[in-house]
Amino acid sequence: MLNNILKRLGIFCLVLTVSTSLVFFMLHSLPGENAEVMAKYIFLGNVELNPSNEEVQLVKEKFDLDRSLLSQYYSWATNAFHGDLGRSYKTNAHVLEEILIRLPATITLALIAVLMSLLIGMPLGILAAVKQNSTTDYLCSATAVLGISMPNFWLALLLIMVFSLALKLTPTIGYGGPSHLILPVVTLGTATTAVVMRLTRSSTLEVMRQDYIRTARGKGLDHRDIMITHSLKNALIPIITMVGLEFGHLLGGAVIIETIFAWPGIGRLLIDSISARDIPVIQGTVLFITLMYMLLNFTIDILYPIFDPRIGGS
Amino acid sequence: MHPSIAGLVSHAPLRVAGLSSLILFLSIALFAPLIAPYDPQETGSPYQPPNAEHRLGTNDIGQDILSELIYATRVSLAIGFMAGSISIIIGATLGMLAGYYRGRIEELVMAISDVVLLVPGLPLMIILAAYLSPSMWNIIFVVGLLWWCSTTRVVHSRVLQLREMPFVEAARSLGAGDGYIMLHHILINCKEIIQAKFALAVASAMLTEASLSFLGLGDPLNISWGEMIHFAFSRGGFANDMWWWYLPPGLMICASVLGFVMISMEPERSQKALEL
Repeated sequence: MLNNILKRLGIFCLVLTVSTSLVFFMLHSLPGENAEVMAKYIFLGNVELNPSNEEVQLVKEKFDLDRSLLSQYYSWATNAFHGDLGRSYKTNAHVLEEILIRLPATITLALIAVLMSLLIGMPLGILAAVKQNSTTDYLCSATAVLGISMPNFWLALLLIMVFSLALKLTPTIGYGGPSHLILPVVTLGTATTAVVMRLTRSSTLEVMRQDYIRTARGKGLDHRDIMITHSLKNALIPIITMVGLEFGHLLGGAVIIETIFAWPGIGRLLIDSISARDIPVIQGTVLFITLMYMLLNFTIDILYPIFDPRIGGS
Repeated sequence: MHPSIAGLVSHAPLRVAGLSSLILFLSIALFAPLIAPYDPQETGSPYQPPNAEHRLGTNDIGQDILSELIYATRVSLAIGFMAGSISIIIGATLGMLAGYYRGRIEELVMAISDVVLLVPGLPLMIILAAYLSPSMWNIIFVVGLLWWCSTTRVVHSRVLQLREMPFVEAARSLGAGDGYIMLHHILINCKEIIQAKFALAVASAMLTEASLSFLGLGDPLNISWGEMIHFAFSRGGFANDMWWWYLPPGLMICASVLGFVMISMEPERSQKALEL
């Protein structure tokens, strides 16, 4: 058990280093261009104008862009380890603060989307499994496959078109009361709902073929009792694993969804900072997205033995 | 209908449907110059609604949207196929090497795939695509290089089963080399899985490409479906409810991705059928 946790922690640190250094070296591999774009923002406030050579040089010196990449990364990483992610090139605000202000918006969005996918996907998956090869099953599966095949940004546009512009039921974009959550959550959660549904269906089918289900049925137990206490509990394990991995897709999807719905989360912060070449903010956002994703998977790994005692013993 | 075709349709209806849609889209891509009513580059009067001359109207610079849609099939499919191929070649090769040789190689490959699997894919791809110049090839490489892990894992676990099978042992005792066994015994038996994974990889590559292009990171010289939606969104097609501009490309993405997903679904079912 302890061994397993230590191994996971090792992978955890490795992934953090790999993804942040990858982004770091990528972002800094075009130093001249970075300095140029930043000079445009800082001195001219306008991306259309071209900065002079002196201005570009000034930017390079101010932000240490002349130093070697390795030493730049080293100082970034040590500072980050102490909780200092630097300041935004564009607004001079502390990156950590900028991210922490926006983090709740993204977490709310992602968590409610996961909740939605579980609340809709699992019952539908069980229904499809219980009524295997019926019209209900085919309908559920067809909807799920359609949900997986649809690009989420396009779904977002359709939902805005129908529900907020034509029917005027929901706000179009922006951040505010619970009604603002509806369209972004539905857009973000659709694909995950479909994946949860398909997985619940197949793992329930798998469990239903087991001997102990036949025994339970033979004992004359109520069908609903069998489904809940015997099948669902065992079918849950692969679903939990999948939700952990799917959370990464959700965070990725949030980058696009937040941009469309003008949602003030870290996904939108990432897109905004990419267009301004605001390297410290890009770095910080990637660090946080990776951190959140990994913390969740780490927790799930550790919680496994609770759901499946067999795993704890090995 | 020919009996064997009828048999295939009743045996694997989803795969047949998926393959037919694939053939349809491939022919649209192949015969684009013959089908498209106009040259997609040709400009005319902008923002026309659908009419007899332009079935799907014209865009902001007066290009025929139907022709643009037909030509975009080439770009979207090409990116999907090439990115899917790269990820499948990397994924299958690593999975086979790890499963067959085991030991150090296996540990290394699995560790790398553990790391890459946990690296947040889409945000990284967005940064990569934004920093590399916007070109079709960059998108292909970005998507292909970050999408191989799940193939590696599936192929690896299949090869672990296969390498212990009696026929592999028999081949080995007859003096067959590792390369020969891998090509003639292992690869052949992973064919179904690799095919299914390939179809899925193409589907996810197409969706990822569409997302990147929608954010404006696509290749301006090779307009794809995702990029058409980007332009419809950023140049007033959406605000003015010009459905003929933003709806068709989305439908094309849906239909083609659906086709690939359906092709990938069948082996899963027949695998289940074999078990029963």
